[in-house]
Amino acid sequence: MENAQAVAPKSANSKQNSARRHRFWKQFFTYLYMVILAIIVMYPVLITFITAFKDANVQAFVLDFGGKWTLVNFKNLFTQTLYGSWYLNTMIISVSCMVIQVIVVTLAGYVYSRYRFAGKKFSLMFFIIIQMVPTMAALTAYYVLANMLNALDHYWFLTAIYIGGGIPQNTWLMKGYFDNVPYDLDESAKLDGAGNFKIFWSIVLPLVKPMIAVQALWAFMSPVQDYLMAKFLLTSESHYTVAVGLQTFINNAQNQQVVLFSAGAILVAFPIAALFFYLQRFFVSGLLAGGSKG
Amino acid sequence: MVEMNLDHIYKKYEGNDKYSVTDMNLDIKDGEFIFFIGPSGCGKSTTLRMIAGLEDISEGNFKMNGQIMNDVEPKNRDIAMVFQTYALYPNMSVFDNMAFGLKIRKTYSNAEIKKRVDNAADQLGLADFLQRKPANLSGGQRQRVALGRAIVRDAGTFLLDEPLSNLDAKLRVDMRTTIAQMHQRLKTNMIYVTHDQIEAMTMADRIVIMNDGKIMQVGTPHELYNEPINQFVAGFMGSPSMNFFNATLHDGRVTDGEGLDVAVPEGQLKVLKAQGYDQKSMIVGIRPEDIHAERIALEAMPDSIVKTKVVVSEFLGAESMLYCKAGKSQFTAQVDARDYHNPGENVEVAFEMTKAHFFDPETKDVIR
Repeated sequence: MENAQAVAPKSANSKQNSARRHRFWKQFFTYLYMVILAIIVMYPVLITFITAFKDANVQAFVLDFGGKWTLVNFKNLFTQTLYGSWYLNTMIISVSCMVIQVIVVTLAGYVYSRYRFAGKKFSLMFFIIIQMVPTMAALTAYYVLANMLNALDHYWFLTAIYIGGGIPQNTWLMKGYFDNVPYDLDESAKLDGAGNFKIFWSIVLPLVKPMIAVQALWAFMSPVQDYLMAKFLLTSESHYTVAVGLQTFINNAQNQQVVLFSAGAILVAFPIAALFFYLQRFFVSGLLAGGSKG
Repeated sequence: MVEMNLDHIYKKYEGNDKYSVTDMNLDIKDGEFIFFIGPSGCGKSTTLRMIAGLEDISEGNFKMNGQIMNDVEPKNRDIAMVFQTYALYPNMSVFDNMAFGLKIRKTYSNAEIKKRVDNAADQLGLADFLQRKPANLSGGQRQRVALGRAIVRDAGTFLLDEPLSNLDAKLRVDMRTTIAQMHQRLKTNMIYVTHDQIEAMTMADRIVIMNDGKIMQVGTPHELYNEPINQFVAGFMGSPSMNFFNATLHDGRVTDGEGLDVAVPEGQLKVLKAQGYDQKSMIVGIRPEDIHAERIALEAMPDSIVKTKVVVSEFLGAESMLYCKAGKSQFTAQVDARDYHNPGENVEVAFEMTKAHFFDPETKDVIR
């Protein structure tokens, strides 16, 4: 009898212990993995951030917390270089791209979702196929085209490329999101007397706000992040975008201005972060709740 | 005053070989509460949507008050529709949902709109929910908002596409009364599509039964239940559904060769013989409630007794369902609760053959 009592709790206990140990190691390795990834991601950002606040004479891109912290680099950016113009240029291009691309993609997505027309299937397939060709491959063609149109160094050509590049994928995404809005809402509104635009504007559009916010953010970010296209198609220094301009700080081996580069890079983050915080309120779920059953 | 005519209406969807609706002819009188019923895929919703203008009519004419309306926009047909899935605008409050159609027309003042919406909301018990969004309503409340949206429009015709199919059983009964009262009050045409024949039986002025894109029969609930013109209608109407037997007529009795052997009453026998069915096979239909197990019936109908074995039995409170087997035939009997028998028991039942229907085995039409 004593033996039986002694054995039962022990085996239960050891099973519990081994389960606990197993859980511990699983969590430990999961967090270890995440910490390593976080370090890999944060390391360059940290270096850039610190370098932005250092005095001019530093070794390039070393993680060094010592020394004085100063804001003089930011001042120099705007007084000694063309950074201010570059910043303004980038904002103009990004905002134009955002506004136009969102309008085009939203309307196109709605039409692809709701209407039948000749060439619908073909053009959707074409959107997929054309994404297989990277924009870089067409660089020479763009240059020649820009030359022919006297559009080198002009913003409208560059913006058009950004917008055009964003249309295929984002139209598909927008169409997919519109497809989730039940069609009987359109029919109900039609019976109520609403015309096509009224149905689009008052009924369907409010229900796809999260996707529009995402589109706006991506459309704004993509010109900011692009280097190659801007480098090839903008020729005068005062017309550069930030990406191209910043590169000039570090491509000259004799005269590297690492601190200016870092300061300039940090400042680019602000508009994107600001836009993200503004658009966050639209990232909501459950917009369709209560509308249709099943 | 709205009179509708469907004149040889056909509907074929693109990419399909078959017609979804074939040669539909129907006249709908003013103020009528008419039901389209039938199994899934029979074309009833398609017909309703053609009337609404949400689907194109492939062939034929749809007329309202004598005018051809095939190409008229839905909003100009003076029609209000209640959808099966409610189709409420999720981003608007109940008030705005109901006012949407009125605001668009621009012919109503804000005061008039408010009056109409409040009126409809009172009728449907929605007065306390006007500022809520659809997400914060129960299923029954949402369905009432969908009804309210149709009421405020003050349209000449109401179309209802399976409005109660997403509600639980008790709510369905409550809403049936609400809709019936709505019809009595508004006196407009109502066209109601459902697969639930109980809704049709309880509310309809006339019922149109459809199958496979064609009209099977049009008539009052009484006509369809008691005088079905073919086997499909006979089997569709009534719950539980009618029992069917393959049998042959010999010497004034129908028999299936084993187990089933009942006499045919004189009146019906004369008709069957006149139509040439003596010694021929036919389909005999009899409703479960016309099969009796009580002593009195067995004594009154000695020629129509069937000895059977109970396979499954269900006790329903006021009555019992006996699922029985006799020879190679299986049938359902709806008997009084007192006559409940356990599965496996042998029992004698009497077939009330004066209520039986006879159908041709090939055409499935009723023999009369």
